[in-house]
Amino acid sequence: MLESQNLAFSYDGKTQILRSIDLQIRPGEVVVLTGPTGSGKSTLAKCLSGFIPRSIEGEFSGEIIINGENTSDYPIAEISRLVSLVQQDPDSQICTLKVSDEVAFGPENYEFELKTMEKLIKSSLFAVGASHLHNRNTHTLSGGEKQRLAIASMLSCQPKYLILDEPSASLDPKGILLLRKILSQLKDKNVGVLCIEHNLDAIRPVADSILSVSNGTITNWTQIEEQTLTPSPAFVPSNKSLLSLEGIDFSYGSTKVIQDVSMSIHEGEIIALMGGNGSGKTTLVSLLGGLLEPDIGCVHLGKDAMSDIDRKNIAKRISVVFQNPNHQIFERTVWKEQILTSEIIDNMHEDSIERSRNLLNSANLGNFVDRNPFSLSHGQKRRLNITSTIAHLPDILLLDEPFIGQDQDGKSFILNAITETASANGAALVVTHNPNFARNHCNRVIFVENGSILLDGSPETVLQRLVEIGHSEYSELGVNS
Amino acid sequence: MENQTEFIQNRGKINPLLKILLLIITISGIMIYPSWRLSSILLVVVILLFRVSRASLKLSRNRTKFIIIFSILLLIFQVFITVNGTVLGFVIPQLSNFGPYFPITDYGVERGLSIASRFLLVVLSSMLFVAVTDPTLLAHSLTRLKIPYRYSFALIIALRFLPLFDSENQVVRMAQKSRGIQPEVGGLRKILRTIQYTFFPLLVSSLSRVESLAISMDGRGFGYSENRTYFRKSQWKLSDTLLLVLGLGYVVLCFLLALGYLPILSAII
Amino acid sequence: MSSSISTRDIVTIAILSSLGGALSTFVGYLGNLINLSLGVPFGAGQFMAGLHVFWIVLIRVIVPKRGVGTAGGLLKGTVEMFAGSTHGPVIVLVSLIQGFFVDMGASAAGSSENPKDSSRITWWIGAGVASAANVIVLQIFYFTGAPILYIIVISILAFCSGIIFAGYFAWETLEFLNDAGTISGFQSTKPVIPKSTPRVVVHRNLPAVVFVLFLTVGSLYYTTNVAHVFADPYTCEVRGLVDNPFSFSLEDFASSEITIEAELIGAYTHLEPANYTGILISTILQQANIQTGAVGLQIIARDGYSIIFDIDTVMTDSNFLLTRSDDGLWLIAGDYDGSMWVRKVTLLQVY
Repeated sequence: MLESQNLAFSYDGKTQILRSIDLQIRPGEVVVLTGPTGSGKSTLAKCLSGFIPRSIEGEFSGEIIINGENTSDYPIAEISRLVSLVQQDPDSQICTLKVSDEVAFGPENYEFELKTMEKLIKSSLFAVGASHLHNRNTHTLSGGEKQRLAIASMLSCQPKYLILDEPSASLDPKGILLLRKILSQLKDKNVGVLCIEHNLDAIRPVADSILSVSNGTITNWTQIEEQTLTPSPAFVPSNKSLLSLEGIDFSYGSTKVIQDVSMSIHEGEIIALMGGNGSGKTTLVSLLGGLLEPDIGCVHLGKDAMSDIDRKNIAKRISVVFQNPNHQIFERTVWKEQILTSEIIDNMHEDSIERSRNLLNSANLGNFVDRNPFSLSHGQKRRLNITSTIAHLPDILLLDEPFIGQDQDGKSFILNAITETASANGAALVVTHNPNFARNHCNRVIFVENGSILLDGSPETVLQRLVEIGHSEYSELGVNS
Repeated sequence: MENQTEFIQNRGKINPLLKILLLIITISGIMIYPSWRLSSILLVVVILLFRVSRASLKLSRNRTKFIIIFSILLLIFQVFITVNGTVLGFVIPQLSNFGPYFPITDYGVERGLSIASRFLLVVLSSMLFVAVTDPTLLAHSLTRLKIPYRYSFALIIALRFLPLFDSENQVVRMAQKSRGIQPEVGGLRKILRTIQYTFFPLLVSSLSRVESLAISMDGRGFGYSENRTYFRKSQWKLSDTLLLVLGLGYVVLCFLLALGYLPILSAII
Repeated sequence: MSSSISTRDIVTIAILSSLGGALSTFVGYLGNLINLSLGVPFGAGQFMAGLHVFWIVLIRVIVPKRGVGTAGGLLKGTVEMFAGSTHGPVIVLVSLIQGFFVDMGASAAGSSENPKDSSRITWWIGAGVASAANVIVLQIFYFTGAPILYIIVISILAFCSGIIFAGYFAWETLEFLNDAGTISGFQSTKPVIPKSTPRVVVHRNLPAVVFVLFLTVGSLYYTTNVAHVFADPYTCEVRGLVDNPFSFSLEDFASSEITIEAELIGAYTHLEPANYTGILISTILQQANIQTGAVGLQIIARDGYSIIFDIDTVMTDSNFLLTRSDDGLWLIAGDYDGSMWVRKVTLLQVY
């Protein structure tokens, strides 16, 4: 059994992240741990896996007991052989160039014999359903495949306990189904699993118990009626096309990602763009934003061909927000970042400054104007990404998974920005895995598969069709909600 | 990168450590004895090795353009600055009282050829090296030089992140584009700002990966012991030793040629 | 000290090297933009030289341990080679040497001290020198014999680029990263400056003094020994099988000056008979005192051109002299074919 007794931790000695944590994980059990952003879930994971206090400094007290033995004298490599931690971002945990090398990494360090290693690589990859990947280069894997590789490369060290931090974050609904399968197989192998998860729907079916962290202590989780955002009033979109793709093909090198796509975005539309990881959603957004040139076909913004329009003019009319907030912050202070686009497109006047101020306030960023934008939390950065691209009132919003990592206030702020734009004769397209958002707030859903549009229509029809064609996970799993 | 597996199977016989030594040896030799005939011979050998190892010699059009222009430039440069040797003509011929200037001499052309061919040799041999070397095996082989595996592993980590950073760079550039930011180079301020807009986001995002990766590696026993075992590692074989001796022989030969101990041979190459 | 390198340090070095390698194409692209805006085909590349050193400086500041700069340089160069840099191993060498200079600068600045205050200038100079180092290495590989003026101008350009990008801008970046919470300790280790007695001041600046001294001595050594090609074009050296090797200028033999008439007859060129005033080679060699057993004389020019004569013939040849011309010393070989006339003579080697 993996236990913590009276665990407390603080990074700076002032703010107590964990107060008194008592937790038990038995072999063959999946314990799910949930809690609000910033409640210390990841910190707890690092305590249980021994990195706090060994690699990360702070004020630590309490005990971690594994199979009845106090581990406080164990060096990190010893604890790691018992408890493995798979962190959030799989891309940051892969250190080699080939899949088989990655899985071999642990056994190599622990000086296993070649024969044992081979066996472990095989069984670990099999356990995560990734045997077919063994010869691939790691950088060519999809997000979901990387996540599974990260788990496999921990399993090859044969830990007794496995801690997974937000494993569903980079997964599409298909990936989540696979994750459930992996977890239940781990149970069969008598591995104790602690799974930190935001998205309870994703793994509730395989959980033995659900706990919740708040205020630095653990309580049993009870279902709270989630305050759903009021559904947006249904707009009747007009027929006026704002932005359109005609017969678009696009490839990265020799890999074709978009194939013969035609679509128009009309005034008043709020579109949910759905589809699996790697289906071409993000590429489609970049093509719509005029950021990539199609190989074949043309893009029209209003009546003009995108390629004929000046870059600044496009920036005035279309706002694009990508997934990783760090990739779209450029300035040294929040305020400078906020007004950057306005400055570039010569839109600096009192009204726009006033609007920028209001936007920051309503996004709960009003107190941070002089802060370094990169020092904000993930959720705050994402809100800044949005406020900084809509101050000049663009017609079209293209948002790639904007709701990830947002609390209730953040979500309603983003939703507001979307509906405001749409109701002002603009339109918004939102990449999402969340069918509830599509149902309640969108008037159109586009589902892409393998770089082509598979379904396009009203939310009810598209979600219904998804069930009929065997993609029910996309219309049922409220991923990232 | 994709094709690398193939090459390993074809050329896996030579230890990667030897490959890098041979690369260094080849170029050192040509620095010691800068003869265009010798580099041309080596160039032919390298091109043959491309064929033997079935590595592709494809270059993008821009690269090819750059390589050709740069070689010609090197040639012209030497012709311009060399005044000795038999004069073959003048860059600027005599026009009544004006000129002639910049004589073209056989020695200048020879030197130009020698340096241009040296450049080509550097380009092609390093392309060959990269095409036939699995960096993972190279890093593991470095432990033969008593380099601790933790240090040589840095090479693997760096190369693993290269494609990721390449694609992140593309995303950042797209994000800039969508905000109307265009690279500007008029004046130092603008240059610095252009750099800042690309460097800062990428630095923050890449440095934020450091802790995760360090934890992940420590959590899998990195540094658990002074030694480790290897799932894939190339052996050092007798043939490797022989090739190394051959390589060293070549260096000695270059020294002898440069010092003029082999006048008959140096008249030929 | 090196044993205390943690996994975190290794990962930091690797990740920054990798990012530096990934962005080197962007740096090249910027250089091209500048070339375009200046309307020159190339050359602005050196103005961007400091941006390559920038990464090494970042690595050395964030992982403040001796030798990390060199290792980072080596790694960044290797990454660029694997990424398909045209110059391949030459880039590795350039980057390695740059890393070494950054390390030197860092050690001189005192690595335990906060790099923010007094030692900053030393750091920046180190970064400038590291940037300029690439000019020297590339010159050795591809531009041997380039005029010294050209090399000095380009080196100064690269040095300034190093100060701007690997110095000033690197510091801006570090402060920014520290402020963003991405790295820690860049500012926070600011030491409480003790009341400085003169002794302390001297002590604190000692590394900087040593570093500047190293630079001076190093560059002197370079210009006098390594780069003998840059030496005064009017001096020449006698070496080899002589009792008394020396270096001279024609003025040293002013009393023995003679004038001959000679005509250059080459395959394609022809210089009308003219008077040449100078010193006979035999006069010069007599002073050096040729050892018995010497058979020949090799006359070597600054551009590497060399030509061989029989020593006995030379000693009796009265139409064989060194004269002063616009670009250096010329060998006038009156009795020989035009191709035996050597310009810019720098060395007489007896063998």
